[in-house]
Formats: sequence, structure tokens, C-alpha cells
Amino acid sequence: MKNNPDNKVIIIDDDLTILKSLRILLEVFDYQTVCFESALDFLQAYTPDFAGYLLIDLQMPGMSGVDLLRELKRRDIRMPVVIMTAYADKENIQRVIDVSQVAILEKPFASDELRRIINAHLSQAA
Amino acid sequence: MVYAPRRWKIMAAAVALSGLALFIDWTTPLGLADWALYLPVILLASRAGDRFLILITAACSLLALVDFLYSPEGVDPVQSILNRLMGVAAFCAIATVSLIDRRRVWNAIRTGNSPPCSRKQKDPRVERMRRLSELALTLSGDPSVVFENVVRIIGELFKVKLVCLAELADRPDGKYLVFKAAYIDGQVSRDLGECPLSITPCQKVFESRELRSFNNASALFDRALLLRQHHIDAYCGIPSLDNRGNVLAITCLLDDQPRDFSEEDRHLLRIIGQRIAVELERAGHLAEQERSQTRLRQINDELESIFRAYPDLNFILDAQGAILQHRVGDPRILYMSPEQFMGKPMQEVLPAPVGDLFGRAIRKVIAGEQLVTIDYLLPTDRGLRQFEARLVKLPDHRIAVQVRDTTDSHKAREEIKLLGEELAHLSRLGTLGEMASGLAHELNQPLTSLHNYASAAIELANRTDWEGVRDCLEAIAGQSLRAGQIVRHMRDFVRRGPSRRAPADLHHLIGEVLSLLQADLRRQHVEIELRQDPNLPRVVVNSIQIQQVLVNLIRNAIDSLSHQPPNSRRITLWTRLIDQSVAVRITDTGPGIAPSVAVSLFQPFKTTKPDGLGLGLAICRTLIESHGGSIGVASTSPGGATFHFTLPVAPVEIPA
Repeated sequence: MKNNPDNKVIIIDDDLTILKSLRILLEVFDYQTVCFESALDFLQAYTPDFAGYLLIDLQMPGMSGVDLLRELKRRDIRMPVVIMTAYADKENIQRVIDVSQVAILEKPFASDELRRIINAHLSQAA
Repeated sequence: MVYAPRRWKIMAAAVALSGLALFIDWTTPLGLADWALYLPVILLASRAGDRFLILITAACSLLALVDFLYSPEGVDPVQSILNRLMGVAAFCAIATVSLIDRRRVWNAIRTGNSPPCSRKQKDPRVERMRRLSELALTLSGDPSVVFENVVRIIGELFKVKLVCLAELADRPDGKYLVFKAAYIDGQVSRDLGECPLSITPCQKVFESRELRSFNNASALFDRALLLRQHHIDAYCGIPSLDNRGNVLAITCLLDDQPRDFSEEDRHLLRIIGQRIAVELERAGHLAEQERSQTRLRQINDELESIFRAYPDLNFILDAQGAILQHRVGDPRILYMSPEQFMGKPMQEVLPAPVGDLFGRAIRKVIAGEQLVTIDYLLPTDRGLRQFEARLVKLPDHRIAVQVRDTTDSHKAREEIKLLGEELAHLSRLGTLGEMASGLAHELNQPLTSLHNYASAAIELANRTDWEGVRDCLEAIAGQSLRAGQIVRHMRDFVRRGPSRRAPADLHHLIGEVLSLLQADLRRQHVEIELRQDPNLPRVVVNSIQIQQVLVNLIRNAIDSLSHQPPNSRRITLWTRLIDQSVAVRITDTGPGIAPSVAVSLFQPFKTTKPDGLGLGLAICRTLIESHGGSIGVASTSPGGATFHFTLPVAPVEIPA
């Protein structure tokens, strides 16, 4: 399972402590992780052979999570996405839903919940 | 002027007449000698009195008639009786004249002057001198009656029906004569009112500024009521000129008969006219003096009342500080009773520390300092009171001291300061409320990390990977501190004042503020750029208050960026040392501030936000100014605003 490219989670968050703690958590649970500090870093590194699960923070300076979702749609990049946010208010949720139907996790979230969402998708894909 | 014949001429004429009468008596049968002798007897009798004169005249007439009964034989009785009757007629004529003007006739005989027969000629020189000296006395006498006396004396002196003295006054419709006094038919009256100058003969005097005299005045000036009423014929007007040649007043002499004023009369009238001018000016000066004295008294009374209304103490000291005068508003705030301190030096009267303070202040004032103010405490009947004394030097080296009880205003100032701090505190609470959701996010970040690490640690513990567990626990320790830090900043921010001023690193304060505002900045996608002077000195400030200012200014900047595109939302924070002040500038890339709004931006209740109270910037200004700094705003080209404030490096204590 460890070398399964489908087992890869790509984390995008400007908060380094979040980024680091998620990487450690997911690696403990045998996921592969790739971390980006901003949406632009991710887009620059992106190649069509990228695969995996996208874990995106909603509030980021410069390009926000919603902007990234929009950009993915524009480039027709179809990857499974989970949006993380510390403000799960109606306005924010609506802005995400307007772009695409994705899972939204409100910080702080239980690690089991994160794994459940990722695994559900992976089993679906398998 | 006709000169009267001297006394010896009269005597000679009398002797000649008597000789002639005796000669006629001798040579003719007329018998004139008797009544020629009776005449001097009647004239002598006229001195004694009216009754005696009549008695003597009757006796003389009787004797003359009795004389007829004893007339010698051969004399024609008709001629004789006619002769006696002529004598009686002469007695009666002399007696009548004497009765009419006995004194004048007598005087004429005594002095040798012929009795005057016309009004003008009736003015004897003595009478004239008497009147003139009376006039001179009047003119230097009581100003309230001077003009009445002047017209009366002129009237008596020149024997005219009317004398008027009128001042000239400017009215909207031209010059007017305002009558000050008049003499009419021997009576003096005031308050004759006024009349337009142009309808009176005085107009001619005014135009020529010279004495004018003419007859037939009523016909010439038929609109002048006074002239018509009194059937005036003769007019003589004298101007009274001031030293610039302006006509101040006109005095006019009016009579119901034609009159010709001699050159001497005119000369005299001109002098009187000039004298009246002097008198008018003197009266004017007196009135002016009276007015200024009244005004002075009024001012004095007003000042007195004002002094009474104030509870302050006022002292006048000599150059050594001895108390010369005192005025006490509220005696309860006196340190001791006036009997104890009057005449003694202020320095000795008051307890030593306060006395020394006064001594130094008095020396400073005498040395030339404009105003010296001292503050001190003194025990009084109303307890321990705080006083403020203000000392100023008077022109004569004395010192005026005003002492004010400032206890209550001190208390009020303290209360205002406390209210200000309370308001700032409430404002901080409000700000924190508005920041709550952002702060919750800011706490959620470390909590999320904590949860992730803890979950990972549990899994690693299950696998007995103790190395991994230890790494996670270290991370947990770090993250829990981060969460604690945020909570502490929040608590500090809303801590109730007054906290003391202490040296602080402004960059540290900015760092803490940014950690509080992190969530807001992230949520609004605002980039913060720090341009900090690395050599910035520490400032002595109330850290919470300065942080409050920074929070307010940065949050305003964040709000101003809400309508900008996300990639151009930037706030730059500059710090720099300028002279002896630390300057902070907060520049945003927002729409900027209109100059009309900028003017009143720091006033309370001025807000551009729909839900704002408009207190934030007013509080900022109060806080910065209480630190001795200044705050302002400028628009930044091509858009955006720069708020800036300064704080002095050396601490400045300014009462709130």
C-alpha cells in the first residue's frame, strides 16, 4: 500500500505547523504526502502525471483555496479534493460549493474523519 | 457815545439861568424869581422819597398861589395869576420827572451826567462795568447755570427783549440749533427745544462765522416761529468758534424795535462770543470727565462684583512679599484670619515649604518674569486643599497674587482620566469582540496541529515507536505554547488600565499585535510588509494603549482593502527614528481618504463605517497625545492611505 500512487495525499496550507502535523499524521497512517506552502507552488510543480488526494486550506494569502479550485476546474485537472477551513461559516461554504462539490473539513477536525474521507475515495477508486 | 457835560458846566448854566430869571424878574413884571428858587428845593426833595417829594411840591405850589394874594398893587391880576400857574406847572413837571426816574435824575445831578434819554444812551458805564464783571464771574462759575446767567446778563446789559444761546448739532436732515438757555422779557428759561438752522437768521452767522446784525428780521425769516411770536425786528448773532474755526454755538440778541449796535457793542459781543466758546468747551470737557468718571465707577463696581462672584483669594504684596491688601471670595479656604496675616510677608505667614515656594516665586516675579504659577497643599477649614497661586508684577513693583482652590478641578481631572481609560478599555473589548472569529481561527490552527500530533502519537504508541511518540509530544508541547500565547495576548489586550508606562520595544509590540490580527489578515488575504528600522530605541509607553492604537490602525487598513483585488491587498508597516521621536507609518493600498473626510477623521463619532461608533480614531488620538506624540493621516499616491504616529523617545508626562 505504501508505494501505491493512489495512496498519495497532496497538502496545501500556508501554516507550516499545520502542514507539518498533517504530514506526520498521514505518514504514521502510511500515506504518501507531498506538501506545498501555497497554491501557486502547487500549480508550478503540477504535471499531468500528478495523482493523489488534494488537501487544501481555504484561507491562504495570495491565491486562496477557492481560487485554486477554480483554477483546477479551468485547467480541467480532476483530482479528489478536501477543503480545510477554520471558518466554516455559510458564506465560505457557499463560495466553495459554487465552484465544485467537494468535502469540507472544519478545523480542528478529528484525524479519523480525515482518514475516513480519504479512504472512502480510495476504496471507491479501487 | 455822547459825552455828558461836566458838573461845573451845569452849575454855570444854573447860575446863568438864575441870573437870567432875576434879570427878567427885575426888568419885567413877570415875577419869575420865586419859582426859579422853588425848583432847586423840589429837586433836593426828590432825594428824600416819593411822599416827601409830593409834599414839598404841593407846599411850593401852595406858597406860589398864596404869594399871589400878597402881590403888590398895580400889578395886572391876570398876568400875576398866569405867572403863578406857570410856576405850579413847572413844579409839577419837575416832580413828575423825578418820580419817574428819581434816582437817575439825582445821579445825573450828583455826577454831572445828563440823564439818558434813549434806551441805548441809558446804559451808564458803571452799570456796564458791573454787568461785565458779573458776566466774567458767571463764566468762570458753576457750569450748570452758566449759560442761563450769560443770557440774562447779556439781556440786561444790552436791554433787549430776547437772548438765546444755542449749540449746533448735526441731525440726519442737516444742522440744528439746540437751545441751551434763553432770556425772554426778563425771564430765564431752559429747554426751548431745537429748530433747523437754515430757517433762522443764525444761518447767516453760521455761514460767515462772523457777528451779523440787521433789522426787519421777522420779515426776512418768516419761517422762524420765535421771531414771529415776539414780533422781532432787530437781530444780532454772535458765533462761538472752537480753535479750528468751527461754529460751536450762536448767541443771538433779539428786540422788537430796530436797533443799531455800535462798534463798541459789537466788539464786546465778539469777546463774549469767544468766551462762550471757551465755556462750551470747558462744559464739554467737564461732561466728558463726568462720563469717564461714571464709567470708571461702573467698571470698578463691575470688577468688584466679579471678584465677589469668584471664590478666589486675591492679595496685593509689596516687593518683599508683605501682604498690603486682600480680597477673599470664600473665607473657608483661608489658612488663617486676615488680622493674622495683614502686613506680614507671605513667606512667613505660610508653613515653611509653601512659604519658601512663595519666596522663590516672588523673587522670580520681581526679577521680571511675566507670570509665575505655583501649586501647593494647605490645611484649611474645609480640610487639606490643593491651591494654585498665580503671581504677576504690577507697574509699581507690587505683586498681585490670585489664589485658586483647585482641589475640585484636580479631582475632576483625575475622574476624566479614569473615564478616558475606561473608554479605551471598553473600546478594546469591543475591538476584541469584532476580532473574536478571527481569534478563534487563530486558536484553531494550533489546536488542529495538537490534535494531529496527538493522533499520530497514539498510533505510534500502539506500534511502540517511542522515538516517533517523543517527536510528536515535543511538537505538542510547542503548539500548546503557541495556543497559550494567543490567549495571553487576548487577555493582555483587554486588561483593565491603568497599567504603568515602561520602556518597550515597539517592534515587539507590533509583533504581538500582528499575531492577534493574523486571522483577519489571512481571511482578507492581506499581505503585511514590515520595514523596520533595526536601530529603533525603546520607548517609554503604556504597551496596551500603543497596541490598541496599532490594532485600530491596522484593522482600519484591512477594512479599507476589502474591495481591492486579493493580489493587491498590502499593508506596509514602517518604523523609523526621526529626531527624538519614533515614527510609525501604516500604509495600505486601499482607495485612500478624501481630504474633506481626513480633516474630521480623528474627531469622535466621525465614521465611514455603517456599523461603527466613530470612537476608534478619536481614542487613538487621545492615547497618542497623552504620550506626548502626534497622529495624522495622509493620502498616498496613486491610492491608499498612510496613518502615522510618533512617540517621543524621552518620556513625557502629559495629564490626560
